[in-house]
Amino acid sequence: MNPMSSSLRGLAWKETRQVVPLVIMLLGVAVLLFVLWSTMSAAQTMANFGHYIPLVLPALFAAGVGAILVGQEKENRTMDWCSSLPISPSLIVLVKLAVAIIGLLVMWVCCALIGSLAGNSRLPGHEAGVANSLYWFTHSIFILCCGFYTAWRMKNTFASLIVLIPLAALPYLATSIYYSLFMTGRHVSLQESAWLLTLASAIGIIVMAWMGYRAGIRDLSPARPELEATGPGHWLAAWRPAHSLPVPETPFRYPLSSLIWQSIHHNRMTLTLLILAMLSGAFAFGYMAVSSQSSDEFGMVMVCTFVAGAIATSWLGVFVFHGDGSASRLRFLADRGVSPTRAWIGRHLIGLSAIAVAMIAFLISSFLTLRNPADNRVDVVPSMAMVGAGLWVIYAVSQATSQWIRILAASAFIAPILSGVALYWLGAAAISSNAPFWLLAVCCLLPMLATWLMMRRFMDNSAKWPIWACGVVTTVLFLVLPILPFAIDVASFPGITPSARASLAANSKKLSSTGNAQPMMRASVPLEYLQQTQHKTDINLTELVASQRFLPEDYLEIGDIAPDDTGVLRASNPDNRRPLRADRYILSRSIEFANYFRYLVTQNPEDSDAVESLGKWIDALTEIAVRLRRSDRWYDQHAADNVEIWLTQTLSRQDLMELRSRDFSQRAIAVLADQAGRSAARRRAVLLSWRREMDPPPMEHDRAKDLDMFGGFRENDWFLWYPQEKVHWIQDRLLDRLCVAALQLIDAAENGQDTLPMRRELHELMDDPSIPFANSWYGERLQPRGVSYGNQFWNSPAVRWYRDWENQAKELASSSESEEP
Amino acid sequence: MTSVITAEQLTMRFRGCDALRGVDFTIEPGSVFALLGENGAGKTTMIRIMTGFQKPTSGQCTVCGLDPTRHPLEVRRRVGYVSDSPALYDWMSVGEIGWFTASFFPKGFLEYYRESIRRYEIPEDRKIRHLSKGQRAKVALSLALAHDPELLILDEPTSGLDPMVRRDFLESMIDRAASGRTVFLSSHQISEVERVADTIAILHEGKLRIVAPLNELKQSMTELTVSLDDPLVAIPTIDTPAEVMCDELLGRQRRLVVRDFTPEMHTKLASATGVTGVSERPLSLEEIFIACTKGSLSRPASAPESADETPQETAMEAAS
Repeated sequence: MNPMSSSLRGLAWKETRQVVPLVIMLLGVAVLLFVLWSTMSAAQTMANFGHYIPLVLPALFAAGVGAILVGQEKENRTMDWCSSLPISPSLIVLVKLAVAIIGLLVMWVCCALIGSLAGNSRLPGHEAGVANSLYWFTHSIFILCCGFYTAWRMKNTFASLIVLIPLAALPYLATSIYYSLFMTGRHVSLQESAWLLTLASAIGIIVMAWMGYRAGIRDLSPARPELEATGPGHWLAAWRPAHSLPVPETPFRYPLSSLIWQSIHHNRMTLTLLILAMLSGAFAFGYMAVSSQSSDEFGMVMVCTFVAGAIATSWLGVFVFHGDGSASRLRFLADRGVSPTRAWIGRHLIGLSAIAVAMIAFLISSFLTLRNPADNRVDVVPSMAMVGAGLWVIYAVSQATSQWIRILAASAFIAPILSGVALYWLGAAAISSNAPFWLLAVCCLLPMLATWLMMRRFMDNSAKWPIWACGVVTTVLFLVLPILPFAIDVASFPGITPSARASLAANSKKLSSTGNAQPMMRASVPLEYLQQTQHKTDINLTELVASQRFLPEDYLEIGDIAPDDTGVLRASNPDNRRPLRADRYILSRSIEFANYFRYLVTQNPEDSDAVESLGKWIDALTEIAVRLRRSDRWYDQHAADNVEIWLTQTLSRQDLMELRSRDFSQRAIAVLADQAGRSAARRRAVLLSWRREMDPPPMEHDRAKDLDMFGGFRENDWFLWYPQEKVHWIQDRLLDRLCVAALQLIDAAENGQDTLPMRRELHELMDDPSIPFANSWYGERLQPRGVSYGNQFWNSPAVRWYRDWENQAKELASSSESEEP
Repeated sequence: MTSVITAEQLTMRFRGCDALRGVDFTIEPGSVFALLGENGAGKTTMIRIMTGFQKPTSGQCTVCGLDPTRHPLEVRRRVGYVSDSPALYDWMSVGEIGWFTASFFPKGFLEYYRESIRRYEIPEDRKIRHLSKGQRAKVALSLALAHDPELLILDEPTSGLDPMVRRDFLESMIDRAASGRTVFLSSHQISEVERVADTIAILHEGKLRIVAPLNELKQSMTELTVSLDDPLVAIPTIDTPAEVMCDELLGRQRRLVVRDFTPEMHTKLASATGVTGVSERPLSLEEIFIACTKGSLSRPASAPESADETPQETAMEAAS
């Protein structure tokens, strides 16, 4: 074999093997994120931020691969051994770069796969089209080249990762400068902007790849004598700071003091940068949390500072078990009998002190912002304790990550993500699952407890698997504990028996759907249009009202319902009436118009025009009620109840007795008299609504879930007294119970039995527990008697079933029959 | 005969210290060359320059006729090098690291490596991270020897090896030298060096104090004990070519370590006024090393005599 290809093969194999753990870890993180997101059923959050998750993979890979392939090898000194072999430096540098780029391509493929699995393969900024995808891709290669450059150039891997952040922003900076110099006062489209950023990144790739290559060659070539340009003879020598600060003459009295001294002096520059970034972030958050004022540039600076502060807090945590806190260095302390607890406290004191100072920075910032009277304020201001808790969670999770993942580059990038997820998880548990405060506090302590428990093993640098096992247990506890009371609560929430559910399913399958319901359409209302578009004083309302006819044919447009020769709205084919989908607004408006003519008739029974118009509305509403009853949706039955109540009450009025003999009244009374048909329609709608919810037709699945509809009711308006997350888990059981109660109500009413127990059950299900049954819509005292327009009514299914109005309808029908002969 | 290694006026300066100060030596093929020196004497810097990891501040060095700073790859191809603490890829198995390294050397490397590993009884499928310190040293040695290099450079080669392996290893070094290969080793184990080395160099504070064949060195170094009437009596100056390596007064006796001491000088010294007797004793390599680096064969006089005295008090006294 050609010696060159043989060398290439060996090197490529080695680099690939070194990259594999990073790839596996990143895929693991992506899977964890998806599992958590799907567990939390945060569909909206997923829709908003889900497309960032796959993007995390190539971004983190690009940022970390340089540190893995170069920084880690330099720290472990394997680079020294490797360069003692007869391999040309350029081959080492190029093979590393090539393997990293191939790895990045693989991560992009994984990113696309995960995106398609999650059902959202669009990248952020997808509106810019191909240019956007190209930009993300080139920018990831640019970051990779920057990572290689910093890793080759700097001795300290941690510092090289910190320097990478400002370098990654260079294309943005370059394009911003370009805009301000050459494109002021001109609109820049998203696509144009994406192309410019792509171009800037591409130029950056060339520059950084060349610089990285040079740095690599320089690093692998024989070291130059450092005194040639920088020795004591050099003019700068007198101005350079000493390598280290003078050591105190006497040793510290307390070992902890020595450990703190070590924490500070091990890498003063990195520590200073991290703490400064953290304090700036806390200060920026203090401003952002209090003020709602946001000028574009300043607001963006504040947001960036805040994000940098959060990352710095996480890296301060990572700092605990890397560098001098790494297992190999802590071995020095273990060999000298320093207790693990003492070493653990010593490693943490600086970080915890920084958190305390950051809390004060937040307090000062929010105080200064609040003092500015010109500043608008937001309604809810986070407390200092809340900010401290947030910082604590980020820090605690990051320090645990750094103990579990000993590869610095991996833990430095995974820790901020994991800590962000942990913060979100605890927040979601507190808000959505009502997790008790003490349990959240325990969870916050868990990562610290885990690292403390494993400190002895870590310091002794013994087998790693107990530390990983502890990590797994801690992660599981961290994820499970906050939702444990919630899970128990959910598990114990009552539902219906499996046999009852099977019965529901069997009964619903016997029924066939009547097909898609016809939506109600509304013609424009000139009066409303004028009210909205013109100044009130310009409208002569009296003239306008007088010019309106307010008749059904002027306002209603309901599919095949059209005015006949006499002007009455009828179905074109009465034998094949399509079911109707209720529209609350149109129904309310129709009833208002009908009320208007009813008023005219009661004022002047001799007004034949008013009587004719009222008749048209009664006919229209009767037709609407019939068509609504044919619908599969529960909500439409609810709407039909409202219409029929109006018809019942109108036709029962003593002052309109004269009209009962008219055809339109007789047609309405015939519909009202059909109690059996009403019950059958209700039963059918309940069962079909249940079936559609439990087993949505494939085409409607997404739509049904998006709209969160159950039988036409808005599920989001139900069960508001339960925590949001709980509703997700118990909703099926609640709906089962609701359907069973509704069906039992129908059965009881048909058999002439007492419906009170079922209404009590419905009240328990649908009403806020603080409302007693007697004061609820389902009770006797407050049962809705008239036509209702309020939300409460429209959100209370079966609230009007078999109530007084139906008895009134029966009486109306029987009195009409008795009058007829 | 072409020298395997030549060093001419090698100087290496670092910030705050001079690691090498004008080092000159040559090493002939087929010899075992031992570089001795206390910690920080500049041994590792010397090796780093020879293996092309470091450019000297001034001076020249050739290895196998090549300048290692200009042709580091060619030098590394022809040299086997084991550092004092070789950092091997601990995620690789013993077999994998051999396979990996073999891809940079001509055919035959892997077979020789496997044979060597088998001899050391190290399982090929074991990860490097699971090896003991001694086993790691054996793997590093096997890797350095597998391409049968012209020159073997070893920095503390036997550290971590058990006595049996150490003995085998040292014998193999002699065999290598016998077969015309050259071995350059830097070690603190003077007894071992004494067993295998042909040539000894002692480096002290960046300067070569002695470079000589072992036997010649041992023969040329003499410890003189001169008994005096009175401690204040002056003894005659020892003329060149003899060189006094160390000189100390112990009561009425003066102890000197002298290089190239001749019988004529003995007579002259014994006949001097106030000298009551002169005795000679050959020195071991260890004593020679101590004499060259410390300037005294006695135990340090500044060791604290009282156990009650704390280090702080000692330091304060020294400071005052």
